[in-house]
Amino acid sequence: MNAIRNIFKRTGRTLLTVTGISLSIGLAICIFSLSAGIDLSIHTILEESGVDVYVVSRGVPVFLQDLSKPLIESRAISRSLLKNPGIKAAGPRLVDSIYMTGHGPDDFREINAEGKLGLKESKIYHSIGRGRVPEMDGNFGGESLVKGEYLPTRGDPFYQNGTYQGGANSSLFTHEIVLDVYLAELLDVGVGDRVLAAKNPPQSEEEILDWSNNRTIHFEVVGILRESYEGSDMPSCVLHLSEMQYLMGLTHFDKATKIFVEVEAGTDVNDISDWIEEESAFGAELSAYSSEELESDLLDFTDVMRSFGGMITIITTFVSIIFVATIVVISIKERTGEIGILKAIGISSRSVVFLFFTETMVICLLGYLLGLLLGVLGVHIVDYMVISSYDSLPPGLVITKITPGVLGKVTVFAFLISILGGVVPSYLITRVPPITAMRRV
Amino acid sequence: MLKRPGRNIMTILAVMISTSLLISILSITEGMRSRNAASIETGNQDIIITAMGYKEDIPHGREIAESLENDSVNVSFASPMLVSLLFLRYKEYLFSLDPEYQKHLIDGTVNDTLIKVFENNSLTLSNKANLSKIDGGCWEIVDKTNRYRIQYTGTELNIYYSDKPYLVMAIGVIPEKTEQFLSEEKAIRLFGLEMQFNEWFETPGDPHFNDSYKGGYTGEILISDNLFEGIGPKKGDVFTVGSENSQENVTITGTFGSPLSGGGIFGKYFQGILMMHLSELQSLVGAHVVSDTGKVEDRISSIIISVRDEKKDASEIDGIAMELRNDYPFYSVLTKSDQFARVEQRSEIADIFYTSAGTVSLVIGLLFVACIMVINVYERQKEIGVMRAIGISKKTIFTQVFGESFVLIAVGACVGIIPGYFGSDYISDFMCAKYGVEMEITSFSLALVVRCVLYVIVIGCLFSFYPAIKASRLEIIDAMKKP
Repeated sequence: MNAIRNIFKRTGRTLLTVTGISLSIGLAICIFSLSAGIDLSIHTILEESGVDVYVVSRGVPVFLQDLSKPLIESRAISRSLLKNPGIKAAGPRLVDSIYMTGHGPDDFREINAEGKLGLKESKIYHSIGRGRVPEMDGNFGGESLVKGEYLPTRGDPFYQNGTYQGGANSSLFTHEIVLDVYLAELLDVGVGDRVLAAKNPPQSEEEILDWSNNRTIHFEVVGILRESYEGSDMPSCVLHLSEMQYLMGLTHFDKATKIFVEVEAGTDVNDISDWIEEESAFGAELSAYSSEELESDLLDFTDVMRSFGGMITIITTFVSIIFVATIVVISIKERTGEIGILKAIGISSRSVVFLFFTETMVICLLGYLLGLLLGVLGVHIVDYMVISSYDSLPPGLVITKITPGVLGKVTVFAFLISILGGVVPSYLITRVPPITAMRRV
Repeated sequence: MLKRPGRNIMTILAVMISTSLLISILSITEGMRSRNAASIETGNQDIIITAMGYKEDIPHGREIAESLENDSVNVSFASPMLVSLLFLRYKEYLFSLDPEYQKHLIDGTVNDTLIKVFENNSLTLSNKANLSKIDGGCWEIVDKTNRYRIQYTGTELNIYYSDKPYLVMAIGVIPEKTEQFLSEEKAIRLFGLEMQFNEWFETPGDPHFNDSYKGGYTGEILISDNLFEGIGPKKGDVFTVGSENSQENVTITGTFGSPLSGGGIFGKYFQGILMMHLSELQSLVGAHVVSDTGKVEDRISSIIISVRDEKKDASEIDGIAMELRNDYPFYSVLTKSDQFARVEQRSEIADIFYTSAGTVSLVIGLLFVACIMVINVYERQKEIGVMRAIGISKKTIFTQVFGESFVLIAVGACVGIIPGYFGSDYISDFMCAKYGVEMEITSFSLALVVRCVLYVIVIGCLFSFYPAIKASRLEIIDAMKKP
């Protein structure tokens, strides 16, 4: 109680010191929770995807696969991978750009302001098409169905052993497509509606009618989904692999961008990854990346931010230590006479140190608690700022996250401030002999 | 102030650290801005047309570029480009053998004669090495991690060391078109990368495009300095580009400086940049024809445009861009100022975050100053009381305390410039090493220093009001009573 009374005797300096410590703690929480939020997002999005191993063309980094040449014989590779009992599912994927419209050819017969036949404004949108074979997919997730169903034809009948016979008019061409919520909104369509898709957009407005009549393939929207890993700037759709291949003009050699692999529970993912590259039938042509490797590679990108945030926190903590240490030294020096009297009446040095230690600890504890509040407030501000600045963030992205790890790190920093800034100076100064101290009364 | 040197030194130290941190942090966003501004000022790329997608999504690229040049009264030059990933492989020439040695090239194993030949050329080949025939005139020896190629040239057997492939970012250009966009220093900024050319292509046109991609194949490539230095090519080495399955022999005709160092995060994904003739890159990556039908498609990634000299005014360029948007509604048409605004928008949030973090750190330092001044006022209450008693005004007391605080802050802020410079330099080096680039990431300018020091002083003055007001409001009687 004596310590607390002493603290409130000098309210001005106490308040300023507590504010300084709390700002330092609050800043540390914001910085650490930002790193933790992004790391958690990466981990969660990868985990939700359900993909254990990503298989791409030999030597190509998984992130850059979409810019490189596709895999050939993707179904044969996928089937060969299933020979390993540790692999539960292997699903080929072809990812490429598709231009789409939710309007039929008749909708384009508008006379625009200049009296020309065409559109008053662009109603053709770029999207990311994802070709898949539903029955070959494992429990790959990261997507939640909002309406309708997910490609009701489970197989890929149009493929017909690579013949793609009859083209888009074939009775085996399912014309099924699932849109993500952003694309459905852009195209202004719902389940059961018809959309037109093509590899290339028309070159000019004059070409729109020809484009919509002759260069597109129609699809029926069977479902609408939400992807946790893509934002609104990447509208996308899912269709059968062979239909995507046909749309892209890639009907030779069963091309795909990558193969997603799901391993059996209890199987070592890294062993499977090594097996694919070294022992599988097509291993010489493949590179396999485990989800752990991918996570580690993604964390490399955030490592700069983490190191930089850590540097800011360390420097700020150092300033706080100088702050607290100087104030403690000044406060104790003001009370040297008091220390002398206390020692002269027989109170041990340890008790005197304890008295000042308690005072410092109370100030640091108040700063820590206020810092936690400021940190929580700061985290909300950071969240708000990022979300309001970027309207196309993926729904699965967590900006900030106050984890036990974040609190642990912040507590260590608070502990450092209190020990180095408070306790050490208290201990050194209160070791003054009673006679010397009494002379200052 | 000199009576209490210890506390004043600590105060100046805290302000100095906070200021240097602020300067170092803000030098990052300053660097972003100055790079952005420099890219706008240099080169004559006024407008860029790109595909909405992320691949080579503009079909009939040459046709569009030529129609822009021929039909428009606005455009001086238009150059189509393609960007893609490729493998650059090289076979380091080691030595040659008489064709008779073919009889020793037996599938599955290496014999003693071959091991001896390698020994004579200062190379070790183990008897466990595996030899395999690749095609009629090519064999491969795999010895642990070493791979050797033996190529029959018709007159002799050339032995090469097969090194690992380099994944590179390949840019396909029509040299005579792109050359128009080079600055006086032979530099160009493409896809966000500044490139400074030491040499240029020998063939100005793009002959392979003729006769539906059946024209002459030049095989000319320019590679980035870091790649050239990493490989260290010598006479006789053979270079190929392409994927695992389709490769074409190429010749290095020159090099260029680029920001890539080949290490760091970027180096993990691609090791350098390569430039080649547009049609040759298109053929390698399958952007030349429709895969199914073989019909010429000429797909490209972007077209850079330089407007006529008399139309270089920003508003004229905006007008031309608007026309292009109407003509090509399904492509993205960006002027330099659009690109600038885009980068500014992207860096805005980083700017706010860095400024906020720096300000919080600064506020801690300034709170320290305020706290020390509060203590000083507390310790000098009697002195202030005496001063007030002999007729010194409240305003003078206020000015004295405020001035003392101002001096501490100003000295700390000015001294903080020096560690701020080193901090900015360190951050630049740190980020360059992490990302694998060689460029000035941060910018330590006079404007930045002045802005930061003024910022520290202005905020510092706000914090100095509290102790100064406290001192000036002391009652004479109460102050005189203090010990």
